[in-house]
Amino acid sequence: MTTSTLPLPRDFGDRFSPILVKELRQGLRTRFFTIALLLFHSFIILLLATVTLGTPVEVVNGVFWGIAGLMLLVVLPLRAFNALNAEAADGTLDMLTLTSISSFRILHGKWVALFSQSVLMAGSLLPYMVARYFFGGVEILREAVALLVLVLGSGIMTAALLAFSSQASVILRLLLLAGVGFGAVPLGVFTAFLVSSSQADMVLREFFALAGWEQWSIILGVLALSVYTIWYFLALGSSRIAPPSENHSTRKRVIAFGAHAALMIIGLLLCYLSSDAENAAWALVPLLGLTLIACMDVMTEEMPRFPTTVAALARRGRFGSLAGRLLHPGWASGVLFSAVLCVMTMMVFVGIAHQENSWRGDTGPCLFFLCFFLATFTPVLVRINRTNIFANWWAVQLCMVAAGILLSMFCEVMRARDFAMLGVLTPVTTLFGTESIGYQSRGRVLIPGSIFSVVWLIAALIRARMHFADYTRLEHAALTLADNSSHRANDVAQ
Amino acid sequence: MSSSSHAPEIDRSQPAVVVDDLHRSFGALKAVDGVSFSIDHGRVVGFVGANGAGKTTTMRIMATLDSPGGGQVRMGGHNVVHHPSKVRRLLGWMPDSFGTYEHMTVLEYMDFYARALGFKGADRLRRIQEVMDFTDLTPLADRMSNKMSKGQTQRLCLGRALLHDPQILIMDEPAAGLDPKARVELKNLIRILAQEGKTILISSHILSELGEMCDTLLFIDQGRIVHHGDAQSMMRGTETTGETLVNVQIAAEPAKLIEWALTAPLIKIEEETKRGARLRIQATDDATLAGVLRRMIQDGLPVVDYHREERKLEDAFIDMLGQIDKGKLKTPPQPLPSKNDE
Repeated sequence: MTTSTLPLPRDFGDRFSPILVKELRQGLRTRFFTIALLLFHSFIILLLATVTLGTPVEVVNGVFWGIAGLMLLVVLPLRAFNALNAEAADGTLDMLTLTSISSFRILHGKWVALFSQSVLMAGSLLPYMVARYFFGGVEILREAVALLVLVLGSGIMTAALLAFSSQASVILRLLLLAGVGFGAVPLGVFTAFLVSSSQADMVLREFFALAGWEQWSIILGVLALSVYTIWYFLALGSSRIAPPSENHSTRKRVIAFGAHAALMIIGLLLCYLSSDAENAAWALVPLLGLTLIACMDVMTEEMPRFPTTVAALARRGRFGSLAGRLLHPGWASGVLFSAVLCVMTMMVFVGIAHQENSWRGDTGPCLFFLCFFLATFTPVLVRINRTNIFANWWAVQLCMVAAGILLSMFCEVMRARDFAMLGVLTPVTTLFGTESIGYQSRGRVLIPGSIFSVVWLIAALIRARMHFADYTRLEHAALTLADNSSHRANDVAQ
Repeated sequence: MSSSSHAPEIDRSQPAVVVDDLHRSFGALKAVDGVSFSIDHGRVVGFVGANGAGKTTTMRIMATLDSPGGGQVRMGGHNVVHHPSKVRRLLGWMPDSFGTYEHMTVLEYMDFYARALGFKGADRLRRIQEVMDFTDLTPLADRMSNKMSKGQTQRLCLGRALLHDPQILIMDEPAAGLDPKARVELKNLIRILAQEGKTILISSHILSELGEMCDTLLFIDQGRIVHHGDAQSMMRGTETTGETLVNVQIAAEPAKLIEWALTAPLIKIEEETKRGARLRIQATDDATLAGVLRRMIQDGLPVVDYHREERKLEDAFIDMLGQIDKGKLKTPPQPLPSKNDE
């Protein structure tokens, strides 16, 4: 054994999260980040140099933003693809679990480290934006907004991939990656619109023509939604790596319920109080995405096995027990919770249908989205993968989508649109059938499809209700445990 | 080597470890099937079994890293399911295989875990220094943690497990893959920790290395505890048979010894040897064995060697498994002997 004085690493102070310190120490030493940064800057410098050779400024701007979008929305978030699975496979996740770091702090630290590198990369773009300004053809405000959208998008992509990296199956993660990538497309399109379309100026002018409180409401709303989405993904990931005796679901559901309720109220207010009911889309569009994510999450939670997971609500008596049927961890309460979220979202749809002239008398959009939401319940009743409920949810949806695509192709090839009626049996195939049969006849598929979709929902609720006995058993065990603890404490006190 | 500021509470009125009717299945496979045992404070216990016997699953449940399908585990008086955070503060876990981090030096590795365990500022440095000195990692402080030998990596893992000065250490196959020198170093470290009063559970499928380190041994096979006892009695075979094999040599014709043994109570002749005989004495306690020797000398036998025979632990274990298969030996779910019993 030797003794000599060690130099304490002083690169990060005590106030930094340990996992952030670890990730930053590792991340900034990896060749990946250095090489990506150098390649990125070399390419951008070469690109700007081509302007002097006569390359049109519009082309340079397009390539510049294409590369920036690729880096911030794809390349940098991709580092999260294997983050948690690698920790689990190496056995280091066990070590982290045994420290005082909670599973949420593990994800949060990893996300902050990855996102701060994305911010660093985005910040390094600023000098080039200024340089391009001098070449002309650059509207600095539009570009600043576009960069902000990319940075926020990068944060959300990173959080989503980090959350899904807890899954061991590479195939499943690749599937989820494709899903996340699909979600990034609108952000990329919006960024492209901002930097390349002359209409963007009009949109921004309209934005600045709004009253001050309206501008701030929109800015704060977008930021709040981004923060909430990132938080939700991190909470989703942390619940997947936490020990099964811990409850990481109830708080997540309470916050999700609050966020959905706020968006629903904003949506309904915009429906009934604003001059144009379509303004409710500001609330409806994020509500739609968030509902899908939340439904997928809560209906893929394993049923709890330990009283500790239900103890907090069980101690609150009958009210707590009742709330537990919505908020306890596990897919059974998740079915009821998802049904509530879907109803909240559908209320905004109904509000728009009620107020908006173009929707009036047309039940089509409402029924379409009803099937859309109810599709999330199908995997509760269909089991393809019996060991991994999360994988099962995605496998069932994939099979349904494949069946829907086959149905559409069959209708198209055989020129037999009436076969679209076959799709009414499940919500997803109803959606494909609706698209195949044509706009005028869609009611023939949508109405029976909606009825069958509601049957799926009712069946899922019945199956969930049958598993509520598990919650009752755990609640009794939790209360017995609490009684025993208090008796022991009294004995010690005496 | 102790850290007072992070010392966790421990209920010393109860055994350090209580495992009660523990079950854990993976699908149809019963990995742990009704395991029960308890360990008193300050004991070093070996956990022995073949690969797949259920050692790691039991230890992972004890370390709060897996959940029991049935039964309960209490560490320092705290239930591992109901109070995992309290258990974690009491516990140091050294797994059989674990990864180190890329792009991180040994010092940064220890610094990270010290931060994660709540050490701050100078307190953190002091604790890292203590642990790195103890595990002899100080000369390796600037080495990349994933570029070390197996022995150095095991010392790093032990150092990490000791950072919060745990009262109970669980070590899963700590000596697996180590060269002889690294094994000796590890054994020395474990000996010092045992002298400090830590409760240590060490698993291995190599019995010889456990025999030297442990007060008692727990044998697990197919998810069940098949035997427990101290290494010496296992090697002498006294635990399973209630008899002791003694090798006796005399400075005379062996026939004299045989003749004496035929008339002596509690003694059977196992085998005649060149200079004496192997005798099976129907007793295991030291007093009776000493009494037999005294009688031999009183009866005029010129005894020049008298010693208990010891088998290799591996042979004893295989012999015991054979007896269990034949139904001669029942599985004994009883508490391990405490220090006071000795």
